[in-house]
Amino acid sequence: MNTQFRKGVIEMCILALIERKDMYGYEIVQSIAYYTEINEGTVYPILRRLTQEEYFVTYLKESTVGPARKYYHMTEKGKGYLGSLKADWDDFSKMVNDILRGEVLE
Amino acid sequence: MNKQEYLQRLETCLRHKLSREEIDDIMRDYAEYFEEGRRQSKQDSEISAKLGDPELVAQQLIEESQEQNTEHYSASHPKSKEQNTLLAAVTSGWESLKSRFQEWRHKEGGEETPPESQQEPEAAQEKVQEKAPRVGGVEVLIRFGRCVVRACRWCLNAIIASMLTVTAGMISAGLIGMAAFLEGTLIGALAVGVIVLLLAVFGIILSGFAVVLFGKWAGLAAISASAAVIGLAALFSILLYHGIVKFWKFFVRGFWVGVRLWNRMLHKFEGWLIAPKSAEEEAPKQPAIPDNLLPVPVSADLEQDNPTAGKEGC
Repeated sequence: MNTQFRKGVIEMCILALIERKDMYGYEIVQSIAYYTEINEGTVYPILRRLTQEEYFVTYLKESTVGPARKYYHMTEKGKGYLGSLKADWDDFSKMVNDILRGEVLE
Repeated sequence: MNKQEYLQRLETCLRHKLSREEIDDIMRDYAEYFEEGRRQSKQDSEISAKLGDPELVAQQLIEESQEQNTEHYSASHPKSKEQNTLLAAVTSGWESLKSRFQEWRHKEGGEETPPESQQEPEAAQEKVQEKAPRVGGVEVLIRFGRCVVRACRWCLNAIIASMLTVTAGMISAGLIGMAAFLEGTLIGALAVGVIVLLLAVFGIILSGFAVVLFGKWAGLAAISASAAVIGLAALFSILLYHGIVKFWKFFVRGFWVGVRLWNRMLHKFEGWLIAPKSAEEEAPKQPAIPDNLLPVPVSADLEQDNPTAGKEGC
Protein backbone atom coordinates (compact mmCIF):
# COMPACT_ATOMS: atom_id res chain seq x y z
CA MET A 1 0.00 0.00 0.00
CA ASN A 2 1.13 3.53 -0.71
CA THR A 3 3.18 4.74 2.29
CA GLN A 4 1.68 8.19 2.42
CA PHE A 5 -1.83 6.84 2.30
CA ARG A 6 -1.03 4.21 4.87
CA LYS A 7 0.49 6.80 7.16
CA GLY A 8 -2.68 8.87 7.00
CA VAL A 9 -4.80 5.86 7.86
CA ILE A 10 -2.52 4.82 10.73
CA GLU A 11 -2.73 8.36 12.04
CA MET A 12 -6.50 8.12 12.10
CA CYS A 13 -6.33 4.75 13.85
CA ILE A 14 -4.03 6.16 16.51
CA LEU A 15 -6.42 9.03 17.10
CA ALA A 16 -9.37 6.65 17.31
CA LEU A 17 -7.60 4.40 19.81
CA ILE A 18 -6.55 7.21 22.11
CA GLU A 19 -9.99 8.78 21.96
CA ARG A 20 -11.36 5.75 23.76
CA LYS A 21 -8.84 5.72 26.58
CA ASP A 22 -5.44 7.09 27.52
CA MET A 23 -2.74 4.76 26.28
CA TYR A 24 1.04 4.47 26.37
CA GLY A 25 3.29 3.99 23.36
CA TYR A 26 3.80 0.26 23.50
CA GLU A 27 0.11 -0.34 24.07
CA ILE A 28 -0.82 1.76 21.05
CA VAL A 29 1.69 0.02 18.80
CA GLN A 30 0.56 -3.42 19.91
CA SER A 31 -3.10 -2.53 19.47
CA ILE A 32 -2.50 -1.55 15.86
CA ALA A 33 -0.12 -4.47 15.26
CA TYR A 34 -2.93 -6.73 16.43
CA TYR A 35 -5.01 -5.72 13.41
CA THR A 36 -2.38 -5.20 10.74
CA GLU A 37 1.26 -5.67 9.91
CA ILE A 38 3.10 -2.41 10.60
CA ASN A 39 6.62 -1.20 11.05
CA GLU A 40 6.33 -0.59 14.76
CA GLY A 41 8.96 2.13 14.69
CA THR A 42 6.77 4.35 12.52
CA VAL A 43 4.10 4.88 15.16
CA TYR A 44 6.21 7.09 17.42
CA PRO A 45 6.97 9.69 14.75
CA ILE A 46 3.24 10.07 14.13
CA LEU A 47 2.51 10.20 17.86
CA ARG A 48 5.10 12.94 18.27
CA ARG A 49 3.67 15.04 15.47
CA LEU A 50 0.12 14.69 16.71
CA THR A 51 1.30 15.69 20.17
CA GLN A 52 3.11 18.71 18.79
CA GLU A 53 -0.03 19.66 16.94
CA GLU A 54 -1.77 19.59 20.34
CA TYR A 55 -4.14 16.77 19.56
CA PHE A 56 -2.68 14.92 22.53
CA VAL A 57 -1.17 15.85 25.83
CA THR A 58 1.22 13.45 27.49
CA TYR A 59 1.85 12.64 31.11
CA LEU A 60 4.15 10.21 32.86
CA LYS A 61 2.65 7.60 35.09
CA GLU A 62 4.72 5.46 37.40
CA SER A 63 4.42 1.79 36.69
CA THR A 64 4.66 -0.87 39.37
CA VAL A 65 6.76 -3.15 37.20
CA GLY A 66 9.25 -0.86 35.55
CA PRO A 67 10.10 2.65 34.39
CA ALA A 68 7.40 5.31 34.07
CA ARG A 69 5.11 5.10 31.08
CA LYS A 70 4.28 8.06 28.91
CA TYR A 71 0.52 8.19 28.43
CA TYR A 72 -1.22 10.03 25.62
CA HIS A 73 -4.49 11.79 26.35
CA MET A 74 -6.68 13.33 23.66
CA THR A 75 -7.44 17.05 23.82
CA GLU A 76 -10.61 18.77 22.65
CA LYS A 77 -8.68 19.92 19.59
CA GLY A 78 -7.77 16.29 18.90
CA LYS A 79 -11.39 15.23 19.21
CA GLY A 80 -12.44 17.88 16.72
CA TYR A 81 -9.70 16.82 14.33
CA LEU A 82 -10.63 13.16 14.61
CA GLY A 83 -14.28 14.07 13.97
CA SER A 84 -13.41 15.80 10.73
CA LEU A 85 -11.08 12.97 9.74
CA LYS A 86 -13.83 10.43 10.34
CA ALA A 87 -16.30 12.40 8.25
CA ASP A 88 -13.72 12.68 5.46
CA TRP A 89 -13.00 9.00 5.71
CA ASP A 90 -16.67 8.06 5.49
CA ASP A 91 -17.17 10.19 2.41
CA PHE A 92 -13.99 8.96 0.85
CA SER A 93 -14.55 5.26 1.53
CA LYS A 94 -18.14 5.49 0.33
CA MET A 95 -16.94 7.10 -2.90
CA VAL A 96 -14.21 4.48 -3.38
CA ASN A 97 -16.59 1.63 -2.66
CA ASP A 98 -19.15 3.04 -5.06
CA ILE A 99 -16.57 3.21 -7.81
CA LEU A 100 -15.19 -0.24 -7.03
CA ARG A 101 -18.66 -1.78 -7.16
CA GLY A 102 -19.48 0.10 -10.32
CA GLU A 103 -22.51 1.73 -8.72
CA VAL A 104 -21.62 5.11 -10.10
CA LEU A 105 -21.97 3.97 -13.66
CA GLU A 106 -25.30 2.30 -13.26
CA MET B 1 20.67 -5.57 17.46
CA ASN B 2 20.15 -4.93 21.15
CA LYS B 3 18.51 -1.94 22.81
CA GLN B 4 21.76 -0.07 23.29
CA GLU B 5 22.87 -0.47 19.69
CA TYR B 6 19.47 0.43 18.35
CA LEU B 7 19.20 3.61 20.40
CA GLN B 8 22.75 4.54 19.54
CA ARG B 9 22.19 4.19 15.80
CA LEU B 10 18.97 6.14 16.07
CA GLU B 11 20.65 8.92 18.00
CA THR B 12 23.54 9.10 15.54
CA CYS B 13 21.09 9.66 12.72
CA LEU B 14 19.11 12.28 14.60
CA ARG B 15 22.07 14.22 15.93
CA HIS B 16 22.23 17.78 14.57
CA LYS B 17 18.97 17.28 12.73
CA LEU B 18 16.69 17.75 15.71
CA SER B 19 17.15 19.68 18.92
CA ARG B 20 18.72 18.05 21.95
CA GLU B 21 15.45 18.06 23.90
CA GLU B 22 13.64 16.37 21.06
CA ILE B 23 16.31 13.71 20.72
CA ASP B 24 16.31 13.05 24.46
CA ASP B 25 12.55 12.73 24.38
CA ILE B 26 12.69 10.31 21.45
CA MET B 27 15.38 8.26 23.16
CA ARG B 28 13.14 8.08 26.23
CA ASP B 29 10.20 6.89 24.12
CA TYR B 30 12.12 4.14 22.37
CA ALA B 31 13.86 3.06 25.58
CA GLU B 32 10.43 2.73 27.17
CA TYR B 33 9.31 0.70 24.18
CA PHE B 34 12.20 -1.72 24.60
CA GLU B 35 11.52 -2.02 28.31
CA GLU B 36 7.85 -2.83 27.66
CA GLY B 37 8.88 -5.39 25.07
CA ARG B 38 11.31 -6.96 27.52
CA ARG B 39 8.56 -7.15 30.08
CA GLN B 40 6.59 -9.21 27.58
CA SER B 41 9.70 -11.42 27.54
CA LYS B 42 10.60 -10.47 24.02
CA GLN B 43 14.19 -10.49 22.82
CA ASP B 44 15.84 -7.18 21.99
CA SER B 45 16.57 -8.47 18.50
CA GLU B 46 12.89 -9.24 17.99
CA ILE B 47 11.83 -5.80 19.21
CA SER B 48 14.33 -3.97 17.03
CA ALA B 49 13.36 -6.04 14.01
CA LYS B 50 9.73 -5.07 14.54
CA LEU B 51 10.65 -1.43 14.96
CA GLY B 52 12.44 -1.44 11.63
CA ASP B 53 15.73 0.09 10.54
CA PRO B 54 16.81 2.85 12.94
CA GLU B 55 17.89 4.87 9.91
CA LEU B 56 14.41 4.69 8.43
CA VAL B 57 12.80 5.51 11.75
CA ALA B 58 15.13 8.48 12.17
CA GLN B 59 14.28 9.69 8.70
CA GLN B 60 10.62 9.49 9.48
CA LEU B 61 11.04 11.30 12.78
CA ILE B 62 12.85 14.10 10.98
CA GLU B 63 10.26 14.26 8.22
CA GLU B 64 7.38 14.37 10.68
CA SER B 65 9.14 17.03 12.67
CA GLN B 66 9.65 19.14 9.55
CA GLU B 67 6.08 18.61 8.46
CA GLN B 68 4.96 19.86 11.82
CA ASN B 69 7.29 22.86 11.65
CA THR B 70 6.11 24.02 8.25
CA GLU B 71 2.48 23.57 9.22
CA HIS B 72 3.12 25.40 12.43
CA TYR B 73 4.93 28.15 10.59
CA SER B 74 2.30 28.67 7.93
CA ALA B 75 -0.37 28.59 10.58
CA SER B 76 1.29 31.07 12.90
CA HIS B 77 2.57 33.42 10.24
CA PRO B 78 -0.71 35.09 9.24
CA LYS B 79 -1.67 35.27 12.88
CA SER B 80 1.46 37.25 13.70
CA LYS B 81 0.47 39.81 11.05
CA GLU B 82 -2.90 40.30 12.59
CA GLN B 83 -1.53 40.59 16.07
CA ASN B 84 1.32 42.67 17.33
CA THR B 85 3.87 42.11 14.55
CA LEU B 86 6.80 43.57 16.43
CA LEU B 87 6.21 41.42 19.47
CA ALA B 88 5.85 38.32 17.30
CA ALA B 89 9.07 39.17 15.45
CA VAL B 90 11.00 39.67 18.64
CA THR B 91 9.63 36.47 20.11
CA SER B 92 10.44 34.37 17.07
CA GLY B 93 13.85 36.03 16.83
CA TRP B 94 14.52 35.22 20.46
CA GLU B 95 13.29 31.64 19.97
CA SER B 96 15.57 31.01 17.03
CA LEU B 97 18.50 32.63 18.81
CA LYS B 98 17.87 30.42 21.79
CA SER B 99 17.65 27.29 19.68
CA ARG B 100 20.81 28.28 17.82
CA PHE B 101 22.63 28.85 21.05
CA GLN B 102 21.52 25.48 22.36
CA GLU B 103 22.58 23.84 19.14
CA TRP B 104 25.93 25.59 19.34
CA ARG B 105 26.47 24.64 22.94
CA HIS B 106 25.50 21.09 22.21
CA LYS B 107 27.88 20.95 19.26
CA GLU B 108 30.81 22.17 21.31
CA GLY B 109 30.09 19.42 23.79
CA GLY B 110 29.70 16.80 21.09
CA GLU B 111 32.45 14.84 19.43
CA GLU B 112 32.12 15.70 15.79
CA THR B 113 30.62 18.38 13.62
CA PRO B 114 28.74 17.35 10.51
CA PRO B 115 28.87 19.54 7.43
CA GLU B 116 25.09 19.67 7.03
CA SER B 117 24.67 21.84 10.08
CA GLN B 118 26.54 24.65 8.35
CA GLN B 119 23.74 25.77 6.10
CA GLU B 120 20.99 25.52 8.62
CA PRO B 121 22.30 28.10 11.10
CA GLU B 122 22.95 30.48 8.20
CA ALA B 123 19.34 30.28 7.18
CA ALA B 124 18.34 30.78 10.79
CA GLN B 125 20.63 33.77 11.03
CA GLU B 126 19.06 35.40 8.02
CA LYS B 127 15.66 34.91 9.54
CA VAL B 128 16.84 36.43 12.78
CA GLN B 129 18.37 39.44 11.11
CA GLU B 130 15.27 40.02 9.04
CA LYS B 131 12.95 39.96 11.96
CA ALA B 132 14.98 41.26 14.84
CA PRO B 133 18.19 43.07 13.85
CA ARG B 134 19.03 43.85 17.47
CA VAL B 135 20.28 40.34 18.19
CA GLY B 136 22.70 40.37 15.21
CA GLY B 137 25.70 41.29 17.35
CA VAL B 138 25.29 38.33 19.64
CA GLU B 139 24.89 36.07 16.65
CA VAL B 140 28.18 37.26 15.21
CA LEU B 141 29.91 36.79 18.56
CA ILE B 142 28.61 33.25 18.89
CA ARG B 143 29.61 32.50 15.34
CA PHE B 144 33.08 33.94 15.86
CA GLY B 145 33.59 32.01 19.08
CA ARG B 146 32.44 28.87 17.40
CA CYS B 147 34.85 29.39 14.50
CA VAL B 148 37.78 29.89 16.86
CA VAL B 149 36.93 26.84 18.95
CA ARG B 150 36.40 24.76 15.86
CA ALA B 151 39.67 25.87 14.28
CA CYS B 152 41.61 25.13 17.48
CA ARG B 153 40.03 21.75 17.74
CA TRP B 154 40.76 20.99 14.11
CA CYS B 155 44.43 21.95 14.51
CA LEU B 156 44.71 19.78 17.59
CA ASN B 157 43.07 16.90 15.77
CA ALA B 158 45.39 17.37 12.79
CA ILE B 159 48.46 17.32 15.04
CA ILE B 160 47.30 14.23 16.88
CA ALA B 161 46.37 12.53 13.61
CA SER B 162 49.71 13.23 11.97
CA MET B 163 51.63 12.14 15.05
CA LEU B 164 49.65 8.93 15.23
CA THR B 165 50.10 8.35 11.50
CA VAL B 166 53.87 8.80 11.75
CA THR B 167 54.08 6.53 14.79
CA ALA B 168 51.90 3.88 13.19
CA GLY B 169 53.93 4.17 9.98
CA MET B 170 57.17 3.64 11.87
CA ILE B 171 55.79 0.66 13.74
CA SER B 172 54.39 -0.84 10.54
CA ALA B 173 57.63 -0.33 8.64
CA GLY B 174 59.63 -1.77 11.55
CA LEU B 175 57.44 -4.84 11.79
CA ILE B 176 57.48 -5.43 8.03
CA GLY B 177 61.26 -5.00 7.96
CA MET B 178 61.73 -7.40 10.85
CA ALA B 179 59.44 -9.96 9.26
CA ALA B 180 61.23 -9.65 5.94
CA PHE B 181 64.60 -10.07 7.67
CA LEU B 182 63.45 -13.19 9.51
CA GLU B 183 61.88 -14.64 6.40
CA GLY B 184 65.05 -13.89 4.43
CA THR B 185 67.21 -15.56 7.07
CA LEU B 186 65.01 -18.65 7.04
CA ILE B 187 65.10 -18.84 3.24
CA GLY B 188 68.88 -18.44 3.31
CA ALA B 189 69.17 -21.29 5.82
CA LEU B 190 66.96 -23.44 3.61
CA ALA B 191 69.21 -22.70 0.64
CA VAL B 192 72.24 -23.77 2.70
CA GLY B 193 70.44 -26.97 3.70
CA VAL B 194 69.61 -27.78 0.08
CA ILE B 195 73.20 -27.12 -1.03
CA VAL B 196 74.53 -29.40 1.71
CA LEU B 197 72.04 -32.03 0.57
CA LEU B 198 73.26 -31.79 -3.01
CA LEU B 199 76.90 -31.95 -1.86
CA ALA B 200 76.15 -35.10 0.11
CA VAL B 201 74.54 -36.69 -2.96
CA PHE B 202 77.68 -35.80 -4.82
CA GLY B 203 79.64 -37.38 -1.92
CA ILE B 204 77.94 -40.73 -2.57
CA ILE B 205 79.20 -40.62 -6.15
CA LEU B 206 82.64 -39.72 -4.88
CA SER B 207 82.61 -42.63 -2.45
CA GLY B 208 82.62 -44.94 -5.49
CA PHE B 209 85.97 -43.49 -6.38
CA ALA B 210 87.09 -43.86 -2.75
CA VAL B 211 86.43 -47.61 -2.90
CA VAL B 212 88.62 -47.88 -5.99
CA LEU B 213 91.38 -45.57 -4.77
CA PHE B 214 91.58 -46.15 -0.96
CA GLY B 215 89.97 -49.50 -0.34
CA LYS B 216 86.51 -50.60 0.67
CA TRP B 217 86.58 -49.34 4.28
CA ALA B 218 87.28 -45.79 3.20
CA GLY B 219 84.53 -46.09 0.63
CA LEU B 220 82.11 -47.46 3.24
CA ALA B 221 82.97 -44.62 5.60
CA ALA B 222 82.40 -42.06 2.84
CA ILE B 223 79.04 -43.60 1.93
CA SER B 224 77.76 -43.71 5.48
CA ALA B 225 78.99 -40.17 6.14
CA SER B 226 77.23 -38.97 2.98
CA ALA B 227 74.03 -40.80 3.91
CA ALA B 228 74.10 -39.30 7.38
CA VAL B 229 74.61 -35.84 5.95
CA ILE B 230 71.79 -36.40 3.43
CA GLY B 231 69.46 -37.45 6.22
CA LEU B 232 70.31 -34.56 8.47
CA ALA B 233 70.21 -32.00 5.65
CA ALA B 234 66.87 -33.33 4.42
CA LEU B 235 65.38 -33.19 7.92
CA PHE B 236 66.77 -29.71 8.41
CA SER B 237 65.38 -28.53 5.05
CA ILE B 238 61.94 -30.02 5.64
CA LEU B 239 61.71 -28.42 9.05
CA LEU B 240 62.88 -25.12 7.65
CA TYR B 241 60.41 -25.33 4.80
CA HIS B 242 57.53 -25.87 7.21
CA GLY B 243 58.81 -23.05 9.34
CA ILE B 244 58.94 -20.75 6.35
CA VAL B 245 55.42 -21.62 5.23
CA LYS B 246 54.05 -21.18 8.75
CA PHE B 247 55.81 -17.92 9.23
CA TRP B 248 54.67 -16.65 5.85
CA LYS B 249 51.05 -17.42 6.67
CA PHE B 250 51.43 -15.73 10.02
CA PHE B 251 53.02 -12.75 8.33
CA VAL B 252 50.23 -12.47 5.75
CA ARG B 253 47.59 -12.67 8.45
CA GLY B 254 49.39 -10.06 10.49
CA PHE B 255 49.67 -7.90 7.40
CA TRP B 256 45.92 -7.91 6.85
CA VAL B 257 45.30 -7.20 10.50
CA GLY B 258 47.60 -4.23 10.07
CA VAL B 259 45.77 -3.11 6.97
CA ARG B 260 42.49 -3.31 8.82
CA LEU B 261 43.85 -1.30 11.70
CA TRP B 262 45.15 1.30 9.27
CA ASN B 263 41.83 1.50 7.57
CA ARG B 264 40.03 1.97 10.84
CA MET B 265 42.49 4.58 12.02
CA LEU B 266 42.24 6.55 8.79
CA HIS B 267 38.49 6.28 8.88
CA LYS B 268 38.59 7.86 12.29
CA PHE B 269 40.92 10.62 11.14
CA GLU B 270 38.64 11.24 8.22
CA GLY B 271 35.85 11.81 10.72
CA TRP B 272 38.02 14.20 12.70
CA LEU B 273 39.43 16.17 9.87
CA ILE B 274 37.35 15.98 6.74
CA ALA B 275 33.91 16.46 8.24
CA PRO B 276 34.42 20.19 9.02
CA LYS B 277 34.50 22.10 5.76
CA SER B 278 37.67 24.00 6.59
CA ALA B 279 39.58 20.73 6.60
CA GLU B 280 38.99 19.89 2.97
CA GLU B 281 42.20 21.30 1.51
CA GLU B 282 44.45 19.53 3.94
CA ALA B 283 42.60 16.27 4.06
CA PRO B 284 44.03 14.47 0.98
CA LYS B 285 47.45 14.17 2.60
CA GLN B 286 46.04 11.63 5.04
CA PRO B 287 45.03 8.83 2.69
CA ALA B 288 48.20 9.37 0.62
CA ILE B 289 50.48 7.72 3.17
CA PRO B 290 49.13 4.20 3.27
CA ASP B 291 48.32 3.86 -0.43
CA ASN B 292 51.02 1.28 -0.93
CA LEU B 293 49.87 -0.59 2.15
CA LEU B 294 46.14 -0.46 1.57
CA PRO B 295 44.76 -2.54 -1.28
CA VAL B 296 41.47 -1.20 -2.51
CA PRO B 297 39.18 -4.27 -2.37
CA VAL B 298 39.70 -4.76 1.37
CA SER B 299 38.06 -1.54 2.38
CA ALA B 300 34.80 -2.65 0.79
CA ASP B 301 34.26 -5.71 2.93
CA LEU B 302 35.65 -3.95 5.97
CA GLU B 303 32.82 -1.48 5.83
CA GLN B 304 30.46 -4.28 6.70
CA ASP B 305 31.97 -5.36 9.95
CA ASN B 306 32.85 -1.84 10.93
CA PRO B 307 30.17 -0.80 13.42
CA THR B 308 30.52 2.88 12.58
CA ALA B 309 29.77 2.25 8.92
CA GLY B 310 26.09 2.78 9.63
CA LYS B 311 26.72 6.47 10.05
CA GLU B 312 26.91 6.97 6.33
CA GLY B 313 23.48 5.43 5.93
CA CYS B 314 21.60 8.41 7.26
